Amino acid sequence: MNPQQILSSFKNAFGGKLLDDRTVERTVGTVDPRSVYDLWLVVDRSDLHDAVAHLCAEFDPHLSVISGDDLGDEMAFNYHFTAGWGERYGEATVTLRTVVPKNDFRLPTICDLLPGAQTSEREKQEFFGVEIEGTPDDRNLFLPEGMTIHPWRKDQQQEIDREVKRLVKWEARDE
Amino acid sequence: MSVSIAHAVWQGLTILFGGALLGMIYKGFDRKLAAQMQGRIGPPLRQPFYDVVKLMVKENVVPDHAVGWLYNLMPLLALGAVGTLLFYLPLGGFDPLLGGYGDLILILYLLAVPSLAMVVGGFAAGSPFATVGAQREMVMMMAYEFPLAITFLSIAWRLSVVLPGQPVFSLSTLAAHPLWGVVGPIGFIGLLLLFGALFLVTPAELAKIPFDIPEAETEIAGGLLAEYSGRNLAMFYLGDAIKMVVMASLMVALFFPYGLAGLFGVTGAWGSVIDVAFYLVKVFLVIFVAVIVVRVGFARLKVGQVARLFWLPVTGVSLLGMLLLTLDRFV
Amino acid sequence: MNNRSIRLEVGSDNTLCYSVPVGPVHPALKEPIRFEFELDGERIVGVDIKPGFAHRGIEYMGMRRNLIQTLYLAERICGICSISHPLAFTQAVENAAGIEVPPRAQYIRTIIGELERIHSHLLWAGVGAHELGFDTLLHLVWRVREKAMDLLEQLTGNRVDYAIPIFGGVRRDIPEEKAPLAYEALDYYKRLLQNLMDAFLHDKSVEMRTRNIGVMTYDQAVALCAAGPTTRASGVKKDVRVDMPYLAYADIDLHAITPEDYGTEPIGDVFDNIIVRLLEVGQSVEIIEFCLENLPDGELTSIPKVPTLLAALKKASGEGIGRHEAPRGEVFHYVRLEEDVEEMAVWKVKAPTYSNLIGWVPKFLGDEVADIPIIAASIDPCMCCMDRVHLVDGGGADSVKTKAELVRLSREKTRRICG
Repeated sequence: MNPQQILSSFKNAFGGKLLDDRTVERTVGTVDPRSVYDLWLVVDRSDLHDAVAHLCAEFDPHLSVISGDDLGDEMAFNYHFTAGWGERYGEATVTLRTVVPKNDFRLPTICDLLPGAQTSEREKQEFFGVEIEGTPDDRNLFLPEGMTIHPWRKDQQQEIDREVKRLVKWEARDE
Repeated sequence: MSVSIAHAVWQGLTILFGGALLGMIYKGFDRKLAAQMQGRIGPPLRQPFYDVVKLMVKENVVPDHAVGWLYNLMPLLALGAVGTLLFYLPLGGFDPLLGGYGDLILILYLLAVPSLAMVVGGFAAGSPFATVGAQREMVMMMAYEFPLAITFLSIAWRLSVVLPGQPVFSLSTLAAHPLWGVVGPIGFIGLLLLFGALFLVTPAELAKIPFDIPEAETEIAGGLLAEYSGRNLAMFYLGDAIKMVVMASLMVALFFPYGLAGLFGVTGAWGSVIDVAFYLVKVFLVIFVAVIVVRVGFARLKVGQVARLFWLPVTGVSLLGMLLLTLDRFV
Repeated sequence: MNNRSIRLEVGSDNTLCYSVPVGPVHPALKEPIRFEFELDGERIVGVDIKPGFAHRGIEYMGMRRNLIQTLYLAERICGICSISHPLAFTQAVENAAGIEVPPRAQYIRTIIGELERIHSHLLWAGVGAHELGFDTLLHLVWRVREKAMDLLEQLTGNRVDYAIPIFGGVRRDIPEEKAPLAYEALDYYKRLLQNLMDAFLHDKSVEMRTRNIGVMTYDQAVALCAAGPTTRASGVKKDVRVDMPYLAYADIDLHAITPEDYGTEPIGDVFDNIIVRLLEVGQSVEIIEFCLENLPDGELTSIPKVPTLLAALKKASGEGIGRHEAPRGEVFHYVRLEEDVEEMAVWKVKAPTYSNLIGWVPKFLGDEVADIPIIAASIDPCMCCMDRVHLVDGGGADSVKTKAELVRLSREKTRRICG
């Protein structure tokens, strides 16, 4: 799959709504060097669902994972897809990045397009505290029920430290 | 009078003790040989003895949800039934101790008692794993009892044709007149089929792989026996060891009761010794093929597959064997 | 963990369902995970999966340490797939920082990665046999596996956690003298592969227990984004080594192995999983042979001195993605480096079992209780890869413990137990 195909398909479908794009080319192989590509696209939150729908309709992608990047007042979410599996040298990674303000901390779900996204969405909900609207399952996945802090947020360090100080009470009860 | 009672009691105790000892020795061989076949070293031959001693010493835990009196009674019942079975079998070429008081039909019923005791004990334990294990044991019993009964009855019936008027269900009669020499070629094949059916029923009766579904370790964490520990588990363990001897002795008594002493013309005490030794070897061979090799060579089957296996092919084989034996009478 | 409760409910069509929990501690499970099954008799009609028992907060720790410390941490995410995470992680950082890897290092990384695949697949085969009650195969297969472990120890010094990759190359060489050892082990596997396949695939009782059990269709595998041998068993030809080659895989003509290579139509059941994994052992042997024969000369790493490396990494900025085909599927690491900051800004780890977790649901539905262990084992779950210590204060809410606190707590407990 030519990454140019993916890029131009997005440009045609979204035009100005594709806020930024970057193609990184890397060379692999020592005997017969060839290129592999990483595509980085930025879209707005409101276009995220459409962008994923476009990707699913045209390119049959594989979702690897969703990662989150704490930027202070806002948080960036990277949806790491890969497109073009099944053919040698045919795959390219396609990362859709969207920025979400923390005072309006929600994201649309993509589970209706790719049921396999459920694990990743649940993990983001519990580790960052973002609310993903429409996701089929809201419960914590890896962290225990009733956990109030979100460990990967960089701005909750005070709460995290406070929780650690609770250690002393636990030990006292244990003696 | 008192001398004969004392004599009987002494004999009974010897048989019980000897049966338990033999059972554990054979169990030791089972573990050692299975290990060698799997490429391991395996435990020493004395391991079952260590196990029983260890279990007797450990704490006997009765779960909160269990029906206490049933839970503690069932191991006793299982051990008692299996021990009683020893008295009705011709061991080592001798007549059964209680030969005059019970025969093959009683053995058929008594064989069901230890399994039933385990089932009741499993239900009484109050744990979900034990319940599932007990249900599976019940289904398995319903599966293998039919071919077992057909085999026993066919052999006894065929013998009754040859020896009219004699108590053919008695084990001593059966052991004294093996059928191989009596039947014609059709009957020979029928007898072989019955032998095959009983051969398959043996690991099911003893709940060994591929039929150890009630105690499946990886599925239901020990199943029936999951909640048992200490003395209760030691009794089930001993019961299992003795049952192995019982099933093997039954196979030997029905199909290969031949003695060796007669062949060499040795009589008296030495004759008995040779016969007993030969009997032990025969029992070991039966255990080796029906339990050890089968245990090592197959995966565990599911309860549905076990039931289908016994109700269709094995029952079919035993019915065919019965049919052939019947035909043989008229040919 | 009350694993003795059975709840009885009346289902929507008036059937009595009861729910049985399995785990986190159960003989069928090699690692802690909790299932809650809804059963109708012996049939499974619903399943809920609750992971998180081996969560150690590794990404949290990694984002507070410098990159070389995190590399050691990444290796210890899992013991069985222990080089997969460092391979993907070093790839991600090298892509982000623009560090080149010399050819010899690429080939050495590939060799160790493929040896790990052999030992991992044989481990899985033994565990699968054990779940079926076939202990003989467990012992025999694990005995065969020892040859790979011995070779790994001879080449790297350790049976697990080999500490081979470093940013920019590898830390140890495979010298000429060790090549005969490797060839001997490869011959051993070539001779035994057919026996292995016969033992598993031509055994009637194994077939009865695994054929048409735990089926995941092609469409389900694609929709649920499953990865690795699990998805290849359903016929989906996803393999990172083929689709987006890296290291020495770029020089070898590979193809993704599906049951079609054995001659059967892919159904996606447990039997197909066995086929795919055993065939991959054969493929790995060929790859290692190719790498050994064509091992290029050259340096082992592009930045040999560690302080120089750390300085270069600190100055670097950018994002990088590293992907590797671990024995269980696609391992994915995403790294973002910031200039003049030693720690990473973002580190996201995705283990293959993370993708395959939701694949358990269609596999379980419709099968029986007796199939639970083998279906659970069929995706080759590695919980410690997927979770990242779960501590519950008796009161209910939890706390995040620092390393010093954990060490102090465990020392106190040891004193309490011993004294």
